[in-house]
Amino acid sequence: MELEFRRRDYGATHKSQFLPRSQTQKHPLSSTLASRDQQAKTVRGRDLHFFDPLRGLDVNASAEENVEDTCISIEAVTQDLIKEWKSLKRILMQRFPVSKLLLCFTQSAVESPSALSHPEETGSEQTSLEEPAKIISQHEYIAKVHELRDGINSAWQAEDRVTSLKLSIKVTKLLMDTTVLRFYPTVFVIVTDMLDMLGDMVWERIKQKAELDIDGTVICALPMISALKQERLAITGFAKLVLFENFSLACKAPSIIIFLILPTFLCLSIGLSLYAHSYLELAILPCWRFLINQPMEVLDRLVMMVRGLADPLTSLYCRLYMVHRMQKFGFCSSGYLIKCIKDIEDVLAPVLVDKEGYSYITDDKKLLFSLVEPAIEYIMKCLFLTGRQENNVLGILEELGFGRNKFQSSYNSSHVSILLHYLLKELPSELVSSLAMEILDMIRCSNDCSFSQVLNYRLLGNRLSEGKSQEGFLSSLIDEVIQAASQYQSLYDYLRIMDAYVDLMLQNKMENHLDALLDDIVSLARDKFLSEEEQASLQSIILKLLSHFENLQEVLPLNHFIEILDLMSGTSKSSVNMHLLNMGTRNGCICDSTTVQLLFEVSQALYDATDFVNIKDDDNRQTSHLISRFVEMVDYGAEMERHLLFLAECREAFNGIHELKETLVRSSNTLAVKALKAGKKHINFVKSCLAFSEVTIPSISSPTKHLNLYLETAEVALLGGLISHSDELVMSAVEYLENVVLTDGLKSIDIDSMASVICKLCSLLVMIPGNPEKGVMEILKSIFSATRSSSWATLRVKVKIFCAIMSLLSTLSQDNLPYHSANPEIIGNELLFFGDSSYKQELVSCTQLVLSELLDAIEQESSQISRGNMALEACNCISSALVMNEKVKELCLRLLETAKGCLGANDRYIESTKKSLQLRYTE
Amino acid sequence: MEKDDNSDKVCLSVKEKYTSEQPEEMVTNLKASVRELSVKVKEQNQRKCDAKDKLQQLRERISKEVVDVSVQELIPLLRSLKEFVKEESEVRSRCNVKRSALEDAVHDLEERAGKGLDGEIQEEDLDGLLVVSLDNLTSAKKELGATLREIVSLKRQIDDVPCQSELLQYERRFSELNVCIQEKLQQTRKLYATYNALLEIKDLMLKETSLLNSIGSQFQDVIGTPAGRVKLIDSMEGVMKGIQQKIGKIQLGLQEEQRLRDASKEKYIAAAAEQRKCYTVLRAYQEECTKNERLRSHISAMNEHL
Repeated sequence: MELEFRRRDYGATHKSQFLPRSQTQKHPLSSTLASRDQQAKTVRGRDLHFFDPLRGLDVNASAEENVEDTCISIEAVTQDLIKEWKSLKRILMQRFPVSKLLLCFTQSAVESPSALSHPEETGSEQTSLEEPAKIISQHEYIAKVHELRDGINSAWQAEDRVTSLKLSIKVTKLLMDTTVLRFYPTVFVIVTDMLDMLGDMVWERIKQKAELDIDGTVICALPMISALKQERLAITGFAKLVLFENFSLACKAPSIIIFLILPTFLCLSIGLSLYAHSYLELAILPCWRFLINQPMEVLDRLVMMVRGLADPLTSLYCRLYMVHRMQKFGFCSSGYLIKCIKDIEDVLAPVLVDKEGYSYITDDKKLLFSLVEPAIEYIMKCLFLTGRQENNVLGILEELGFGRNKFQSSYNSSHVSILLHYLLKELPSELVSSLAMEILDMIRCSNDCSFSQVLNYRLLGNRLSEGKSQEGFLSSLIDEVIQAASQYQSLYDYLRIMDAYVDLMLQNKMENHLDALLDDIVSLARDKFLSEEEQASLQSIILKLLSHFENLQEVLPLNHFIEILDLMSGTSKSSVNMHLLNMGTRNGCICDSTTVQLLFEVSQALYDATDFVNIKDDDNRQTSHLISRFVEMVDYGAEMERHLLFLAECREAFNGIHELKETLVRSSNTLAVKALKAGKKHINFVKSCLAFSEVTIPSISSPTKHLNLYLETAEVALLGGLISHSDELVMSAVEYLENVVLTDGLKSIDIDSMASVICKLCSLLVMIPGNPEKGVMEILKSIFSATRSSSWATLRVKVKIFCAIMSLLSTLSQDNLPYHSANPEIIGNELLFFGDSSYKQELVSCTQLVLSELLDAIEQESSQISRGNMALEACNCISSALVMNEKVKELCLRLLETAKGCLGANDRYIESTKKSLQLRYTE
Repeated sequence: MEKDDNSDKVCLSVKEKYTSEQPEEMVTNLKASVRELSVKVKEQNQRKCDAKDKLQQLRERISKEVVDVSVQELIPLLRSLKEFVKEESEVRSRCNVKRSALEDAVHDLEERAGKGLDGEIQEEDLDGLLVVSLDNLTSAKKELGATLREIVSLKRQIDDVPCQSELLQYERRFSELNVCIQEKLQQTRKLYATYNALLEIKDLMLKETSLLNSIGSQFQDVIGTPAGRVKLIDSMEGVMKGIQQKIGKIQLGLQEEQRLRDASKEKYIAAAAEQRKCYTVLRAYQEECTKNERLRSHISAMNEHL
């Protein structure tokens, strides 16, 4: 018996599957809204009920928070200072690292502790003088300093105070050596650690002596409170009384050791240099509170002593250590800090100006100022922390020379640039805003070699940008800044200065100043290539502009904007181009032809700057995505031919971007559909779009996308009534399917996707009329042969595809097809081949071929579970497609037996398949 | 027209009765229809008499009134009379034909009633009619299918001929692919040039290495004798001359490359300037177009106002 196709009524099937509708009395959303309103009312009632206790709790919590804030503010200052000191030391070590270069040091400076055990001091000095200078590395130098420090500690622990003191003097003398300037910060950090240790040890010893008797009996335990609170109690008089009472009691002891500790240290250091004496006294500074009533007198003397240090580097670092010790024990006040800063200014004055009165920069001066910067920064920070605590920031400014009247400022408004820089850095934002004009005048007058004036201008702009409220002075301020920046006649300096003021211009809508800025940039950059630093500054300015404006249309009309873009190159230009593309594509369609042209050029520049050939796709994915999105967003409206030309230009310009190919094809298909909706007169344009898609698709590398786009384009052709074009596109897809080779890059997901696309193609073939000249089933046979001979398709995929082909053949055999093309010109096969016996015979013969291959594929499967599922799937397909004659029944039973053998008799799928087969038997 | 409509209705009613009722009743119905036809003939005769009466009245009127006016009124009446006469003859002949057909049908039915084969005859006739209709429908569909196949075939042939715009797309793609091939060729040439340059560098380094090794191996022996020293100096001078010549050649090549680079740079600068000019012109053109549209809209508004 021959195979026969089962008759199906798609209309009846559709009606049976159609869900019944019932009219509702109320709209579902309205009832939901009503219930929500009720819930809201209930919640509101509850809220009203609990409102007062929550308010009460909030009030209590806020009160507690206020108290905690007050406590934190007191401790925060101390902790901040400790952190600042630690960070300063870390900065010094990082900025001036220890190098491996060999350096020239006199070895006598770092003698071992055993050398000091020589009986005669004079002899040892003579010996050291006779020794020649030796070359040692910095690491060796540091190791020996650490050895000395350990010696100090061990001597102190062994109660050998004299040796400990002598070693401390030796270590402190190292700070006098400025032979290697870059190494000085490292030595300073190490030596100050030692001095802090020494000071702590002396303090603990004196405290111990005051608390304990000779026999070890506790006389009176001093309260274990922090130094800050001790200072506070001393000011109130209570601690002072306690301390001196202890000393009175201690004086009654027969020994006078207490009175000899500090004088002993001081007497031993009389013969030392002023430098070592200053450092040692600073180390034991807190101990003076045990002897005198007014420790501030010592500070005054120390300030005078430090002024005697002539070398600017050592002088500055000594002041830095002095500020640190003051801060640590709460002796510091703004007055002393102001004195330090003034002294620093006096010390730096001879360095700034030569004997002949000229101020110029040299390498040595540059190095000196770089070494001095951290110290100045720390002192300024301490000053303003103290000033905020004392609420005396304005007073500090007046003391330092700010806020004077015009008459006085005209004579003495010059300040050291480096001091002015760090002063400006630490000023509060509101003061920067209020004193902006005065600060600008000082910056203009302070033009020396200690610090770059350009950076001071820049810092002023950055600080003003931080402020929230702006005043009317800003326009005149920026005018003066632009004039000052223009005088440098250097694009790099100009860009660095104005970069800090761009945000101010944009926030305050100063269009005229912005235009002036852009004009100056173009004039300074004319006929020259920009350096990398200039490129970076220009990039910063352009990105600020782009970030401020919402639309690209607002940026393009700016004066010289395009010219400035042309000046840029390299990574800076790429970054700006990416921002331009992102900005242009985020606000919907791009309709302006000028904007399209500009963004096309930007995309081309970005594409040329990126190496798409050698670099992997993951590295340039962002660039690809931006350009693809740009092409997708372009819309020429009614000028469809111009749009198609644009797509062709993009394909030529960006042929290395794989993501773009898909976008181009989809855009072309969209254009074709738009033209079809416009009318029949655009049929040639539709053909052009189809040709564009047809020649672009072969360059797409992904198999799934390749096939999907072929199908999409074929659907568009069918919608346009172009049967020949749809046939060609489908055949191209099938030919591509035949050429797909199983490679490592082809994943299982891709294989499943390709199978889905082929099933979709089978669904599309229901609508495509057969070609009697080449064979009605030409396309279907090609799909079948491609699937059968493919190397990428697994057996499971083959079974899936063969079942789809069986379903298609069954559908084509019906008198009425389930669906047709939207275009009425496309006539279905049920009308074309009505009553044609050869058509029916061909369908039957194809079915036989597919059926045999289907059974073979199932038998070849090695996995039991897969084979069983495949058998059931095939059985269901056959039973729904064919009439249940004897041959078909035999096939179905055999498939069922195969499934039972693989899955077991109790499988649910088998049970449902049996039921459906029984229904088929009764028909 | 009314007569035609009435006759169509009579035919339809006769068909309906013929298909649904029994032969005896059908005979009765046929007789009734004959009576109806007779009544209609009488009505037509009555209308004929009315027309004659009207004509007589007109003739009397003509004798009383003016001849010209009467003649003008008489001509259309005469024409209508002729038409009515024609219609009468046509209706009469049609009625006679229908009457004879119906009488024949009645006669057939009477014969069938006498024979007693009502059911079988009816079913056979109905099946025959149905088969004939289905055959007609099938043949019509087959003809339609053949015609549609021809149409689709012609449509395919027409679509297979590419239009000018399609060819432009193919041409453009071919040129793009050619450019890609050229770029690939340039890249390949560049890589080959790099390889050749590196190979040349390798050769020079090998020569330098061999020279240094030679000097190192022979220096101690040569430096001891005056003749050896002179020979060494001469050899070094020869090497120096060779190196100088080599450097000269390379310098020439370098100058040529620099010249090409400068020319390319100048071209780039000129192209960039041209691009800026084009952008400026395009922008100005767009602004002018916008202004033109605004003015045109203003003019149209003014015209409407006038």
